[in-house]
Amino acid sequence: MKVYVDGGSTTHGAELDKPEEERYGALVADYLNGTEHNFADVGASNGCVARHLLAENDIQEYGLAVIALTFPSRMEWYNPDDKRFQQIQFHSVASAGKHKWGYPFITSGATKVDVMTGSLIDKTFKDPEGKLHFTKSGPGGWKSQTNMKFWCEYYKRIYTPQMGEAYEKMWSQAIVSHCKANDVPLILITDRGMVATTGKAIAADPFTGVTDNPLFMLDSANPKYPRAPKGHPDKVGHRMIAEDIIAKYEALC
Amino acid sequence: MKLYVDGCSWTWGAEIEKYKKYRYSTHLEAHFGEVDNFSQSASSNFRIARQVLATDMSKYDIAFVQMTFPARLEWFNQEKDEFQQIIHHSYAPGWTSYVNLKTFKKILPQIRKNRDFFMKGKTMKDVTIRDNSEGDKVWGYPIQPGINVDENTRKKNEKLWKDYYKYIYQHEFGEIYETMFANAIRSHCKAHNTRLVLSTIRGMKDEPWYARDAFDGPTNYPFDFNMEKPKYPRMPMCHPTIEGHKMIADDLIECYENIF
Repeated sequence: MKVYVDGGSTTHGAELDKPEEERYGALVADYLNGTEHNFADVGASNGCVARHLLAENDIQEYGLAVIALTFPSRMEWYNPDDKRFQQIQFHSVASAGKHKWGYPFITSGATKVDVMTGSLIDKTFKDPEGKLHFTKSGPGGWKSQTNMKFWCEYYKRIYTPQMGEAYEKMWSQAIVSHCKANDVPLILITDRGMVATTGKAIAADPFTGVTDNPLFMLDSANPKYPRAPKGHPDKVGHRMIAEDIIAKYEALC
Repeated sequence: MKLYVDGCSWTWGAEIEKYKKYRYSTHLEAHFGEVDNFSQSASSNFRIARQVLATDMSKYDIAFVQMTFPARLEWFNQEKDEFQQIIHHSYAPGWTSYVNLKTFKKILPQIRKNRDFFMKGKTMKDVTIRDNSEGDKVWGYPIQPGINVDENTRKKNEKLWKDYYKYIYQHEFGEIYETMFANAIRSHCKAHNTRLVLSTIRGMKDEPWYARDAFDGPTNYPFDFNMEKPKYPRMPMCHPTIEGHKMIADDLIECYENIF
């Protein structure tokens, strides 16, 4: 069986010593005596994941799809010089694990401007206790200062969490319907954290928060999965995620 | 039978008085049965796909979905708590109105010249590098920074959207996102056993080669139906006339019967 796998850095196997052997997609394919076809990449946006499925691959060639959506604030653009899509990402450095205030701080309404006023690059901002923290905008796909300025303005003035949520719903439904229409079983995963599994305030990234989208079947940000230093699941975590995927797949069959 | 209908201004019935009486979906309703028309003027493909994918299509027997120019975008206006559409078109001759085949043939050299200009690759910057707000009547068209946007928001966002079309937007992006949305709409309807006729107003490359909007050009995607045919009579701003809507409805019914 060919197993179609896609997602962001977690699905790619970031922070693993041997990602092609240890990531959950490979473990699931091994269990099913199949082959893993992994299209995941570090920094991938949901648009990128949807593009791979809807426009660049034929899902009918596969017996199972394991697809993870990432943080909805990520974007992509087409770089005409490199002739390829590149990913744009914005995350807050505040992590739910280290800064419990991060999620409610950023989602409390007026805070997006606080986070993003001015240049996003190494921009400091204050938490409710007056401590300074940094935001980071990932350099993915930025070919020039001009483009960097544009994306800073975009996140400051245009992007809103409502937009991210609406597009996450759109892409997740598109993926579900595309797999169903082609009669391919799907395990749809979120990397954001889900209310159902993580509780109300634990998100992999506090800027985008957790999702309550019922189409997701598994939450790779579930705290039960052990983590590597930068927050991705470690080797044991990937094994546990693979076991949970297999259990859900067998329940589908 | 119950029909789902969606699209942009063409499907909404722009430029026609009593549009609900004369637009093509009303003729489809008379032929097939009850219609829910979700179209909005100036819609982007993002909005159309978002609407389709948020709908339980199992409620509908047939869907007629019309896709639009891929350069259009949308954003969520927090103050008004709604998505609003961003459109960019060229003012180039290909976009000017023509009302019948005779007129079309008359302006064909202009359209061809214009198309060549836009299809040479480096033209997007030529189009957008100027201050389009005054409307360069030859190559530029004002970017509309949101439909129903208040003046403050318009001013605030206008430069940003100009920069988007100037530095970020590429035809490759528009084309592949059109394919993604079209395939997503097809799959969503198939997954709900809803029969779909998917159409475009861009013009198709395997039909007459001109395009409704010169900036976007014609599409390569295999749509079921091309509404951009010179035989459909037009209003001054290029939307179909009352007669044009009736002709489109007749052709859509024929297309449906050929497919299903």
